[in-house]
Amino acid sequence: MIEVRNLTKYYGSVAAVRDVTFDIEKGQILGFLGPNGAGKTTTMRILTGYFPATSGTARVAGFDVFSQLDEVRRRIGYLPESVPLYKDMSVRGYLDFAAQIKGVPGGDRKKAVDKVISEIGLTEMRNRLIKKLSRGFRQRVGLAQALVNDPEVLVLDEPTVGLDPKQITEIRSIIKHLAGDRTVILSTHILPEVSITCDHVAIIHQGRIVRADTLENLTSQSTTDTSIVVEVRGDTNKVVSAVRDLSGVRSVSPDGENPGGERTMSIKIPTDPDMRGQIARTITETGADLLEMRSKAVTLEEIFIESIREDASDGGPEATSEQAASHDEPEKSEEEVVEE
Amino acid sequence: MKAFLAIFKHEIGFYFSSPIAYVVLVIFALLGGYFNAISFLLQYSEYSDQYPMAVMNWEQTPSMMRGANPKPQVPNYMEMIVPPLYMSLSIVVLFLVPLLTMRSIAEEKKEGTIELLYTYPVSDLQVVLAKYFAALFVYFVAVAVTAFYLLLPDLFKGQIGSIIEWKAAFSALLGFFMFGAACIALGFMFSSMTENQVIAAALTFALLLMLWIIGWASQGDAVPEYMKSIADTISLTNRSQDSYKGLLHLSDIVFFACVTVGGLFITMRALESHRWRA
Repeated sequence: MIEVRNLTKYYGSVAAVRDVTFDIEKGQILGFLGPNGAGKTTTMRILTGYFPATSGTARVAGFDVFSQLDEVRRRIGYLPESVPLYKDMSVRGYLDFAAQIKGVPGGDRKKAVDKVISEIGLTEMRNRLIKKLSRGFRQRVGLAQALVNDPEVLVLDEPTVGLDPKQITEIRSIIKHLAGDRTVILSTHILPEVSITCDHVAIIHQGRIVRADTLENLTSQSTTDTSIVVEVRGDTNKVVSAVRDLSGVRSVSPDGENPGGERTMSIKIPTDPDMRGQIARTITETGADLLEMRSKAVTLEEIFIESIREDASDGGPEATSEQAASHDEPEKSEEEVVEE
Repeated sequence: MKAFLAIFKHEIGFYFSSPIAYVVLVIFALLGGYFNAISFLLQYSEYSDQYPMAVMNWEQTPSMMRGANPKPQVPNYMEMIVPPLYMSLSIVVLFLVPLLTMRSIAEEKKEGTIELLYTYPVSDLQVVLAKYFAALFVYFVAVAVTAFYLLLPDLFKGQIGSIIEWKAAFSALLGFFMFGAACIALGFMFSSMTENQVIAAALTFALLLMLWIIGWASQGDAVPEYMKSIADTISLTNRSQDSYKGLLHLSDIVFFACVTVGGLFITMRALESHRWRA
C-alpha cells in the first residue's frame, strides 16, 4: 500500500532523512519509532505531499507522491503533530468543512460527518467550539478530520503526545478500533505505544531506518543472548557458583537474598543451544529448590537502544563511539551536497 | 470546485462571524457618510440653492451687458461631489485593507492549519482564489454601501431635477472596486510572506501609503516630467482618479488587473515556497 524507496530529504545541507526504504502492506499498522528529530515528521510530510523529497520515490496506493499528488491526497487522512484546527469553528462545522474540501459528495456529507462523530466519541461535543475543547477532545477532532472521507491510508504524527494517561489509552483504542482494513502509519517516541498499537515497527535514527520488522520478529531475535530469570530457595551461593561453572553461561547476576531465603538471579545464556533444562538440573542437584524460571522478554527499549548503537558503530571506520559517529554524519552529508 | 467553495464559505463565515467584517464595514460607512454629508452640505447644497437665483439674474441682465458670461450651468453633482468623495474613500480603503487581509494566510501559517490545507486535495491556486474572493466579497459590500451615497442626493433633487448620471456613477463604482481589488491582492501578498499578522498589516499599509503619496509628485511645478509620469503611472490613487469623474480608461483597467494578478501570483509563489524552503 505504501512503498518508500531511497527517500532522502535535505534541509539546506542537513539531511533530515537519508535513504529511507520501507513497505507497508494493506491493513498493517506501522509504528514509526525514533527519538525527537530522527526524521519521522519529515518522512510523513513527504508521504502526505506537504513537500517533496530531495531524491527517492514514494508511492501510496500505487500513486506516486510527486507526480500524482492529488490522487495520493485523496486517499490519505493526515493528523499533523501540532493538531492544527480552526478554533473558532464548532466541531460539526469544522468536520463538515473538512469533508467538503476533501470532496465528500454533498448528499453523503452529513452522513459521513455524523458517522465519524459517533465513531470517535464526539457526539456530546459536536456543537461546541473547538477552542473550548480539552486537549484530548481536540485530538479526537483531529483524528475525525483525517477519517471523515474514509481514506485508505491514515498518517498520524505523534497522535498521543501531550495527552494525559487516560486520554492516551482512549486515543490508542480509537486508533486500533478504527484502523480496520486501513493502512496506518503512526509515529511516536514512546516505546510502549508501538507494542500496544502496532504490528510492524520501523526504527528511525538520525534520518535512517535502522530496523524494520514485525514486532514479533524484533522482540524474539534481537540478540544472540537470551536472559532468563530464576528464583531459588536454599543455599543460594552454592547455586550461583554451580551455574557460573557451567560452560556456555555468559553471566549470573544475583539479587540480594530476601528474609525467606529466596533469591532471584538473572542468567545470560546463548539463545542457541537452549540451556534451560541443564540449568534447572544443576540447581536442583545443589539441593536448592527451583521456585521459578522464566525467560526475560526483550523489551522494545532494549532493541531500540541496541539498534541505535549498532547504527552508530556503522557510522564510519573512524567512529569509535556513538558520539563520534553522530558528529561524523553531518559532515558527510555536507560533502554529499557539494558533490551534487 | 467543491474545495474552492468550501474554503470560500469558510472564509466568508469567518469574516461575518467575527467582528472583522462589521468593524471594517461600519468604519467605512461612517467615514464615507461623513465625507459625503459634509461635501454635500457645505458645497453642493449651497451652490444648488443659489443656482435658480443665478439663472434669474442672468436672464434679467440685458444681453449686451452679459458680456462673456455664459448662462450658469446646472450644478453638476457627479463632478463636484463624487470625485472628491471617492478620493477620500480611497484613503479610508488604504487604512482598512490591511486589517482585512492581514490574517488571511499569516494566521493559517501561525496556527499550523496551513499544513492541512497543503495536504488536502486542493491546489494552492484554489486556496488563494477562494480566500481572495471572500475578502473581495467583503469589499464588494463596502462598495455597495457607497452606491447608496451616490443615490442619496437624488432624494433632495428639488428644483434642479435628477442629478445622477448613471454611466458616470457606474464608472466611479467600478473604478473604486478595481482600486480595492488591487489593494487586497497586495495585502494578500504580504500576508502570505509572514506568519505575523502585525508585520503583514504594517507592510501592506506602508506599500499602499507609498502608492498613494507618490501620486502627489505629479502635481508639483518643480517636479521633473519623467517623475510626474512615473508617479501617474504607478500611483493607485491617481490611476483610479479619472474613473471617479466618469472616465474609464482601458489602460487603468489593465493596470489594476495587472496589479491584482501580480499580487496574487506572488501570493501563490510564497505559498509554494514551503516546498523548497527548509
